[in-house]
Amino acid sequence: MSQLPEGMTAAAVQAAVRDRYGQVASTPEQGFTFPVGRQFAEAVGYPVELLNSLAPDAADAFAGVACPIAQAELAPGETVVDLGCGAGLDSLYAARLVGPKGCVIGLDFAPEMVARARAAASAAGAATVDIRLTDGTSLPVDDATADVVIVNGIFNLNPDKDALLAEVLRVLRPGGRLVTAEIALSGPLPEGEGHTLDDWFR
Amino acid sequence: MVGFTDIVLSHEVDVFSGSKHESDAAEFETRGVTVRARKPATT
Repeated sequence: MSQLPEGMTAAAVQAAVRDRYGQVASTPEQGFTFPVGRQFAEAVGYPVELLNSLAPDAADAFAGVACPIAQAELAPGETVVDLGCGAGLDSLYAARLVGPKGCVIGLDFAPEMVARARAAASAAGAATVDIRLTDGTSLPVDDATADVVIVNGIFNLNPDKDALLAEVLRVLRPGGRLVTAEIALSGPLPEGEGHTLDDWFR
Repeated sequence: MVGFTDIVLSHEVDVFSGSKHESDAAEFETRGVTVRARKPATT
């Protein structure tokens, strides 16, 4: 378990993150302290052709960190788990790359995001994309299922990174890859920062 | 990253450029990074 400031619980952090990303799913245009949307997706490397070919559901509520799929070297036929799939942009991108013989399991713990990702997958006719609701702790995926696990900005929001990594290890097949885009600090936070839930989203 | 091998820090992006809290991100030297790793083929 990561060390949390005194008085802050993992459950409270999880609830706050779920609530905040539920808001992103429901009203992505409202403005957040972190970047959201298609323009940001383009800026971090998602192909314009991909974005143009999808209904706007996925890109308009995109709230990742980067474009980890660009580093994932996905191959046709592979099984991909998109952990923290949000509105589904990475799941849909991965589905294009693994093709009809591959499959993508998108996981998110915000019900509003799951609904949005399912709508985006349906609009795209992405029959190989399966979006599942998770509790954020135990992943609803069988052992040794995934060739690749993609993560786009989830570990930095999760108070128990070790447990989540153990789950990733469990669902990966032997030799499988993890590709994760994350927010990282170059050094420790200044004294007095990171003590409130609002700080969690700065 | 206990249990993983071949861990590579592969990519950096300026995530907060243009966002409301760009100045905070700069102050705290926040970066977006991509990390690749592999589950060992045999345990």
